[in-house]
Amino acid sequence: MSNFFGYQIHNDRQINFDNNDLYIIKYVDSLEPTLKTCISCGTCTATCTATQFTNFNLRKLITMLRRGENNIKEEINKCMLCGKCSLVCPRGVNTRNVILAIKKTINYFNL
Amino acid sequence: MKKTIIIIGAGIAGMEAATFLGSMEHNVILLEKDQEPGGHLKNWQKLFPTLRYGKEILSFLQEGIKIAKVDLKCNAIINNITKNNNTFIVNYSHQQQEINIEADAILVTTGYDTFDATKKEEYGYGIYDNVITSADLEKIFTTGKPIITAKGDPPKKIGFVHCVGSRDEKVGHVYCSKVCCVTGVKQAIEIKELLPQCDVFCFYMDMRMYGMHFEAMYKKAQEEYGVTFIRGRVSEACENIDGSILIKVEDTLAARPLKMSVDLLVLLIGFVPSEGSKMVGNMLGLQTGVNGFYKTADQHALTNISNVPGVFFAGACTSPKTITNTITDARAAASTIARYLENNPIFQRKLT
Amino acid sequence: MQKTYDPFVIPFAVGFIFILIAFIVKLIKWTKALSHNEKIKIIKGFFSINFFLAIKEIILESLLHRKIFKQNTILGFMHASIAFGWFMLILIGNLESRIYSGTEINPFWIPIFFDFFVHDKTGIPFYNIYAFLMDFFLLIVLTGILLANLKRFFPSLFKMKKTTKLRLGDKLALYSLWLIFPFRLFAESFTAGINKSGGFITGTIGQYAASVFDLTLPAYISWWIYSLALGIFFFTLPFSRYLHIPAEVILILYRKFGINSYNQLNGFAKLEIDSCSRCGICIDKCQINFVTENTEVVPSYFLRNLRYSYPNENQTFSCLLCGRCEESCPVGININNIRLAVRNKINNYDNTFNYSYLPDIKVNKAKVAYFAGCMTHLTPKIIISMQNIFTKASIDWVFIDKNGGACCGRPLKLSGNFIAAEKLISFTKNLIINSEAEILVTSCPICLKVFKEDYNLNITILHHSQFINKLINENKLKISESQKFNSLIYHSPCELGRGLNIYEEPYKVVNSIGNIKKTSFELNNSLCCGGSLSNTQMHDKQRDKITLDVINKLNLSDQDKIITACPLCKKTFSRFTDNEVIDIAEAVNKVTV
Repeated sequence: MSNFFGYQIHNDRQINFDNNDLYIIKYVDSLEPTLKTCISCGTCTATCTATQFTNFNLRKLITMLRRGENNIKEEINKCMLCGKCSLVCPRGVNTRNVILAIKKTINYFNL
Repeated sequence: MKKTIIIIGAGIAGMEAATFLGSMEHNVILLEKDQEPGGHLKNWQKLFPTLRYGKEILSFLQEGIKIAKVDLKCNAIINNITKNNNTFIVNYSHQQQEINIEADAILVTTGYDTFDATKKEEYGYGIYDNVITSADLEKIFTTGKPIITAKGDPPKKIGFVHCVGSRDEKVGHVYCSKVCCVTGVKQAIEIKELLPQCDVFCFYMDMRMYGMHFEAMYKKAQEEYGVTFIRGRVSEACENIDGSILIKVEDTLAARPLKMSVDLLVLLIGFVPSEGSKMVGNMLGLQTGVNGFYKTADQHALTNISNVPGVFFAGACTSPKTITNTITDARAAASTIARYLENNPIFQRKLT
Repeated sequence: MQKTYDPFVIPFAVGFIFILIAFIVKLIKWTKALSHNEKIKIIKGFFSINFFLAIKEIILESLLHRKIFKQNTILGFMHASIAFGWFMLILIGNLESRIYSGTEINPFWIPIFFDFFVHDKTGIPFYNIYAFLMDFFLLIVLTGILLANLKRFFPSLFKMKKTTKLRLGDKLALYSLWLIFPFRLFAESFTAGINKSGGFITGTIGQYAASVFDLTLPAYISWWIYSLALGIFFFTLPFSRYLHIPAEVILILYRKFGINSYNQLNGFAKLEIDSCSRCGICIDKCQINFVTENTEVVPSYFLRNLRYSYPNENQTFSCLLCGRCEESCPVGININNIRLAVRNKINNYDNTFNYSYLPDIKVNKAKVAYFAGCMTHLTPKIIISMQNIFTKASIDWVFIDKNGGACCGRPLKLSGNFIAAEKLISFTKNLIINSEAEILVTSCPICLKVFKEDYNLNITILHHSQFINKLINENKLKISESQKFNSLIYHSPCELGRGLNIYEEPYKVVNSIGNIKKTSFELNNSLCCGGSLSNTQMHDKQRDKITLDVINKLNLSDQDKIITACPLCKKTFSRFTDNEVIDIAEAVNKVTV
């Protein structure tokens, strides 16, 4: 809450979908179209090798991107690219390529 | 005019369709490969959403075929079906005899098989003793035996895994099997009634509570029985030293991975096209759709009609169905066949 | 005075000088790019027995094309006839002209155009034999050229479904090559007709032609065209696929002297790239090509792009790295290494992956360390089987990734992130070292390959099938005859078979526990299941096509079981077949007591 001449302005904890820019997820979708079929079931995160050691959460990362919350740069580098996520995804999303696509997107937009 | 109709499969659909066709004074021969009629209904103890006994429905259906004077032949194996102008010659073996019957129409009610859970190796069915399927659990309910772990103790925690073998590209069945979610809630409630001290957890992707009273049952499971629903698809299960099952899942709503030990893990398996359907389909040249179930002439208005004139469908052989819908479908098939046999003009309607 | 010059020799002469210079320039380029140690190796190599072994390989492969013969006789004959035939023509031609000239030093074009300048060869001892041999080898080369023509238009005659599509530069070189020998035939025949000389072919044709028309002009024109064809060929050679002729010779020498590319685009890799003759044998072998119809992935086109410009993403990343192309390459190019090196380069030597979150993990000490691998945790039957086998054989072992460790690092390497891979490698390497184990056993061939190649461990590293073989040999596992399997089809995983040359031990184990049913795809001809981690770009739908194609080709009958040695192969196959797919460990666990 910031004080502005006695008035309090609440910083939104909500996702401000009207203001968010979906340019990152749009670019990732274009590089890996199967991502569009993700239903956020969480199987990828459940089986993830990195998730045992750190709070890397692939499902959450992708969901956040899809809402336009784009600060994922540090998180994505924790992935070991082992491929277990791709092997368990029920929708057949090529999650391994999604990670590589996200890294490409980060480079492309110089984040 | 009296015609001969052969119905392949004496499950729910076969029996009810036979009853209605028999009541129209047709000559109905109902062939069943098992020793008794009833199909999978014989294996369900209580039915959703009311938890009434399945054998009540079974008796109701059996009474029907008796009243309608249906010729039921159990332990019958179909060898061959040949088309002969407007009729079919069905050759089957029954009581060490080979019999040929000429039929004016055939109704295929070969139903479904349950998904073979060993194909999901990461869940451990067939590997760990304390992993069972919903069908196994239902069998235990029907026998009245106590629910126990492999070691013989009453379980303190039971987990249900939704969507096993359904909605899964990795096992080649991408469709939803429709009845497993509500079966899971039903069985969770039944477990709580038998073992009030046992904690029950359901791991789901979605809760498909579409039918009348399904949502109420879901609410009852939470309110009266304290069943815990966790949104997350289980990725793998392994065995602890004491034989309990350790599952890995992400609690997506809490956005954190979760691990939990359960004493029994129940896999809610889906429906797959039956072996019987494949066999009969090959004999008659029936088209299957992209999911392997029979393809009907139209998805909205011609769901009992196949690509072969004179061959009709009813029940789960065309898609997963609840028992209610199967009975309705069977009566619809009977009506359709009757109109076909009398060359009624309403049967001539076409759809593109 | 013997005439030793005519204007028509100019195209050849200039071309020849050009190609000599070009070769020296290339040789300097290839060698300069090598490291200091590698250069020492080369110098040492020339004085070692490897030099003679290299000469032997040059004769067997560059001239006689033995490897191609093994795959396809007529294709082998086509390549060998041109290479060996032309080589013999040069050799014998030079010998003949040297003997004729005695101590005189002649211009270098004399042996090539010998028949033009020397009309009376009767002074040369055994001139008849020379005439016969020259004509004989010319005939061989011409047969080869004819076959090459046929192959371009009717590849199916050579059992090839596709042959390399050529670009302009290669086409120019090819057509000039095709012109050389027919016009040599005309030139020598017509000249023989004029001089009433020549061998059994040139003489006969010459005689016949002389009786029909005046040969003076036709002969001279033919010599001009012959020289021009040679000149054009020489000019285009360094820029075309025919650079492989000198490059392959140097490649064989350097390879025998112990030089390798080690996953970098170093000088040796550049030499390999220049050695690709774009023969097209790899095209039909590539499953990405013949199943998903993505042809630009094949080495012929990938290496071509790499040589002249840059390979595109599809070519670089859509490869399964299965190694089927490498196995069939007559030049023995390490295509997989080059592809990985390009992947690493395209990723700009990325260093953004961060694994500092990995904790210190304590691991118990034991004689045998078992690393299941990430994928194996999704096929728990394999883990349980290995646990049982260790118990049955009373092995002192520790399960170092029991609760799921870090990834071995190879998937990172396969995606072209070598620096990131090194970080994971040091983590798991520590675990292995801390276990103080003497033997490292793993269930996953992908992990096995990186353990052997990049971990620099001084202990024995085995796949579980090799370890099981050892246990059976040491009588630590007893096989129950009654439990043996009936009909097993062994699918050799790419990383284990072609990747590490481990065929014998898995085969032995499978043989001892059941009857193997042979397919057309055994040993190094086995197909890739399609599940490979190396292809990051292929969608599930296309990957599925590859798996379905393999299952089709295996011709399974109802009682056959597929037995494999890789959890990824197992998972990939089980999706599409109702036949049972089991791992060697599971099978051995079943039949042993």
